[in-house]
Amino acid sequence: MSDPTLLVLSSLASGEKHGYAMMADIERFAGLRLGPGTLYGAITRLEERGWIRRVDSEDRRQPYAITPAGREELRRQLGNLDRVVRVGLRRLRNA
Amino acid sequence: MKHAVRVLIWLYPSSWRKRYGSEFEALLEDATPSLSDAFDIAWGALKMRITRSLSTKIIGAGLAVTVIVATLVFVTAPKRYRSEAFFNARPSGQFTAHVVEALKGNVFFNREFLSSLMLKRNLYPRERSRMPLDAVIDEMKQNIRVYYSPTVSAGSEDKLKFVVAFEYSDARVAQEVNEELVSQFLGAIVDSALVDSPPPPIPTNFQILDPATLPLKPVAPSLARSSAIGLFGGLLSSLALAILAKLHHPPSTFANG
Repeated sequence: MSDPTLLVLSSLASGEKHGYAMMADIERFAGLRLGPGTLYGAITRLEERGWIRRVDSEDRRQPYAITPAGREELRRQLGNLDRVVRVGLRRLRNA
Repeated sequence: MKHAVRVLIWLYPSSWRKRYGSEFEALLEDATPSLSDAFDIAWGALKMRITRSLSTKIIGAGLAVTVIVATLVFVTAPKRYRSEAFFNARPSGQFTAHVVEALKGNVFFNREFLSSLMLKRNLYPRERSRMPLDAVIDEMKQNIRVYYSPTVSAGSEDKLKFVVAFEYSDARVAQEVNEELVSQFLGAIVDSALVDSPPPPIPTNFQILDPATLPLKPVAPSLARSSAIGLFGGLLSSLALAILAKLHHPPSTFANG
């Protein structure tokens, strides 16, 4: 699971965060450190697709929040991933 | 390192920097970027430029048009097959000079011969239905080539290699017509030699190297030519797209939330 957009959506699923908070959160739950370029590439794509939105803030550390469409997309992608994980584990057991 | 990495932000498109630059700098201040982060930022900027740049899109569209046009030209252009017959004239001397003169005068295939061949083989039916016969004969002449080149081989340095070639849209017909052209060519050489006074010596060995071949592959349309036409079309369309984009589209921006 290394798709940056999926990692960002998963991170924002627990609440709004700014870039550095996302990086730290992703490193904590996925054991993966996203580089700044990769993180902001994902943020740019997600915002354009309407899956995340900017949260009003006076701080330069701009927070983002997941949108209902983003939550739905995350659910769909995790469902696919879940199926792959279950099938893979079953096949490993039967091998 | 922080300063060096912050400079890399300038690699991003200006519209992106306007939108995300300030918060991206704030992230770099918090994150203590490493050397691998520097590469990550440079790579991210490059990807952003490739995917967002209007000129990149225009070049991409131009390339797509190039491929489409080249494919269309290659697929739709009528196929041409060339049948060729090769033979040597030996000894060359006076007789070969005579044949070469005759070749220059284009006396081998007169209009009557070509006209009768055309009707006998039902050649160029579409052209004959919409053009005068003389014009169709002229077109047929353009598809016939008779030429020669000197060949150097041990003991016969003045030997000439003749080629009679005919191009047509059907490979089998091209071969059959070329067989008749070769017969006519050889007959005309002998006839023209006999009417000359004094007659030049007819070659003792007029050797056929290859009879009229059955072409297996078309000589046209050629991939190189189709590609060249496609490239030209792609360049023109890219230019047109670039002008249109300049006229109708403001520079690309990232929406402000």
